[in-house]
Amino acid sequence: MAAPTRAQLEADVLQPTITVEWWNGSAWVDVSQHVVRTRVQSQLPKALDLGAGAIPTAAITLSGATLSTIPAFAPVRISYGLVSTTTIRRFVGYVTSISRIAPSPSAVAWNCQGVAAAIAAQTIRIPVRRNRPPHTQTTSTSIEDPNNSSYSAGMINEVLWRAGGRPLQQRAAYPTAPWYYDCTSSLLTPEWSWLDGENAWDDIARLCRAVGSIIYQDEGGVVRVRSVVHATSGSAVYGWTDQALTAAQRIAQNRGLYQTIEERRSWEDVPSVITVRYVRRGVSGVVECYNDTTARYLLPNQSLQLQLDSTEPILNLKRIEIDAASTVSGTAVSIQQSGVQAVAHTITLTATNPSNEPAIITAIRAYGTVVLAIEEGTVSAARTPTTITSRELRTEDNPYVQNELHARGLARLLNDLYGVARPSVTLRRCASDVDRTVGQIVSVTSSALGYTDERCVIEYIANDANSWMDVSVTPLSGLPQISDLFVVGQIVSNTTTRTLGY
Amino acid sequence: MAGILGGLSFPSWRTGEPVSAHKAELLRQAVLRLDAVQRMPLSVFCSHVSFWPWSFQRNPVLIWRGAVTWRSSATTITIAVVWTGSVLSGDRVRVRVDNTTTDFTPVEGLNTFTISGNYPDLTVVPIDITLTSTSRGPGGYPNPSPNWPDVFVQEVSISPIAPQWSYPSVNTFGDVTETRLNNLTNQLLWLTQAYGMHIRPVNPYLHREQGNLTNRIDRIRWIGSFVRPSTHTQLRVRGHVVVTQGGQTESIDVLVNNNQIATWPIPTTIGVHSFEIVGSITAVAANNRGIVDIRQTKTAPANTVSPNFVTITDVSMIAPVIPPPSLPVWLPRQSMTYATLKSQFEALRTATANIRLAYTNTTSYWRRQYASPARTAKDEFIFDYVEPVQPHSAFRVGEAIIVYGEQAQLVRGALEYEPKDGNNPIQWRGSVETSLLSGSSAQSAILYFDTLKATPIGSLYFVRGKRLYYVAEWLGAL
Repeated sequence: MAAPTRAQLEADVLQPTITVEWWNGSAWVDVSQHVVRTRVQSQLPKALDLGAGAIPTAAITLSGATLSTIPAFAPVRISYGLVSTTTIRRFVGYVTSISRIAPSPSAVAWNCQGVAAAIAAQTIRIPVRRNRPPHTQTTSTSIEDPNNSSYSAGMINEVLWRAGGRPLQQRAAYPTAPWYYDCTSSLLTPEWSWLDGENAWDDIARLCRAVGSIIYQDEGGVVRVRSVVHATSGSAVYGWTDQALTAAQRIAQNRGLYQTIEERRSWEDVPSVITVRYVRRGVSGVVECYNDTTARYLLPNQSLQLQLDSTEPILNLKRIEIDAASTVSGTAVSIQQSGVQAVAHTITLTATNPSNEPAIITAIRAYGTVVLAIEEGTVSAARTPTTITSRELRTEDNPYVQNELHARGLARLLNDLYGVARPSVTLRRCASDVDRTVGQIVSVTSSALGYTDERCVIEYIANDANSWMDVSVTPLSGLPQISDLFVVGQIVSNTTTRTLGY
Repeated sequence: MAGILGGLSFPSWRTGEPVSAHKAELLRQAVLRLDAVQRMPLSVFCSHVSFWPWSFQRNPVLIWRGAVTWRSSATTITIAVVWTGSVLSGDRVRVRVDNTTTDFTPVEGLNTFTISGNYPDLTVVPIDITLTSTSRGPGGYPNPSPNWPDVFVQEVSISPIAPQWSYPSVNTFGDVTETRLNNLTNQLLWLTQAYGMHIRPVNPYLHREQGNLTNRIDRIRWIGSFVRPSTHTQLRVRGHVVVTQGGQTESIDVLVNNNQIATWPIPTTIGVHSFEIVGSITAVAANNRGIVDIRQTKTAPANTVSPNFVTITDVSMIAPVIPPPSLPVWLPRQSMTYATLKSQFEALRTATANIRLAYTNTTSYWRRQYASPARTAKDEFIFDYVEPVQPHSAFRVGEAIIVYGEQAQLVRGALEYEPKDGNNPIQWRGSVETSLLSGSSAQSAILYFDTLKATPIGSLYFVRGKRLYYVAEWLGAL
């Protein structure tokens, strides 16, 4: 069998199939025969807002009481197809909760979240790096393994790799990877970057917001990181229309139909002034970067694992001083240190009491150079044309916006994004189409709303049981595309006019 | 950080990414900063301050004490000593570098001694230079016998100061490619390292506390030397004089290689007068040495009347003020043709090449790094009692200050001093004071100006202290 063809997908009558599998630790278990219903939804950040889109979710209703006892956080994948075709992945994630439904106790609902939920549940620390791009283009040859001595890929690439993902373009080399990622180049680069949070997904989303990028997981389980300019680029690969078309016309024109269309135009996010805050950072001299006086008790020859959190990211840890004394004789004890390591804000070490007497640690101090916050500043950009009523958009305090030039570029980007009230268009009751994914560029035609092949990006897809889809799209007119910008290494004629990036 | 080379950032470029206005602007700012650095005033090596060494007729006699901040590229310490007069068979120049002593046998005239060195980067290395002789009588003030001839230290420096990687080449800017952009960026990085590795000595400067020196007034003077970079054409001496004896005929004379290049008549009215004396040094060929000799002379009235009190705060070579290179600003989403884009990068490349050329023409200065003396040689180590101590002074340009000694304080604002009290050295008082070092043995510290209050770029500051051997500024950045 082969994947569904356009002719099969645009046929007037569809015979959908659904495959649901979960990973039992050693093999994928197919539970498709128990599936009563599925609903999967994926989403970009709303209206191309910077940062992370909502983590995809899936709700699977199954018949079979035994399916309520699968292990916690079991990997799950859902694929849609047609009778006599293979299936195409529409969701990759984890079962995050299970409900048993009365009055039919044999019915079980698996509530699932995308792979981003697993990334979010991880603490990933990346040491301080200077002028490292936040994300870099993944290719079939890009060096993505952080352990490779030639590694120079972006910080988000590194986080995704360490979280278990592998580059989509190198799928053949990593056929058993739990999921894949796909990155474009970034628009802006912080001078200093590091990662030391308890939620890696939130951390990289924050970095994306600082550099004009979006991150989302598509239906195939691929985590995509794209600069907003890359996200708006490309030609429409498909169209939806309200014209009455036969199946043959739909195939020939590469279009589909929808039942209703709704446009919402909001001014809530349209500012008159955009203000971006930044905090300039520089390397300190050797300073005391950690100090505590917590009493810690150590028996003779006992070791203690310590994790110390510095307020500033540490560039180079010089030494750790530990004050300790015997609780018997009162004399000073020289605590042995081993495995000392400093990554971003976190210092880890093992402290051992080498004496024959119990000891109490009375103080710990760490010294080293840190990436110090030096001064704060703001950059404001007025929108043209301005709004009638003054409204200011102030960005969050983002540690990755570190100088005036960066802030100026980000302010201009936000002005480009939010400078006009961008409508959100929702198409309801479209026929299920396994070829459609969030992030795709499509066109929308609506005689009622005056859209003629309006170029849009798919922002949201909710697919119900592989029969119907609700789709939200964001029109892209007025937004910059990569083809509007000069690109490093892309040679054009001398008279070609384009713009600089940010 | 806010040093003249601080805050520079060097982006990397990759094929396929948009040509970032942010990154290009970082390059433009680096060019402008480097252009400024190659024209900023350069410190002159300070042979010592106040009295001539031959005033200290003891055996052995310490003629220079100071230190240098080691940089990782350096391999050699060079000591140049001028011995004017007869050399006796037992005469030696004893150089102590960080507790390792080496004796050299001098000859009459210029002696250039070299010592290999290998210290961790940014280590402050103390250096003493002592004259010792078995051919002269034992020590004991005032005279060993026979007396020492005129000997002075012409230079103490380390070299080479240069990045340990090759300067990349960039041909005329054709298409905007990853290789070209990264090479251009690396050129600027290389030049920033080359200039930024250089530590600027902050010299202690002449202050006369007592003018009651009868007819030997010409002995109170400032001696130093420089190797003139081709970019720098004038010598500038700044300071102030406190005129308490009005109506006298006094002047400050600036000599280079025994030729007077400038003189400033000290005002006859009572009060405090600041001065800036500038003279041409183009008579010293580029990359050649000039010996600086700054004297205070009094011709009237009779010598028995004390001359007025002079403080010299700065002795520097200066370069002509010329406009910085005209480089277009890079703005986000700025529209232009591809030809314009290439020409803007070409303008950056040309400006960078000009800086590189200037650097190449001045490597005799930039590839060496002067040591700086510890206030005056005439102090408790020689005389067993405390003499007036000159504060180190500088107009701040760097990111951080490096100090070495036991106690040091940074002093700003209106400066005045307290007369010595027992064994305490002269304590200079200012309206803003910050402790830099406070210990009972010599130690070094690097302190960022951002953490020191009231030291904005360009501000004059003083560093005073007890057993303060060395002060320098780190331009920073790398």
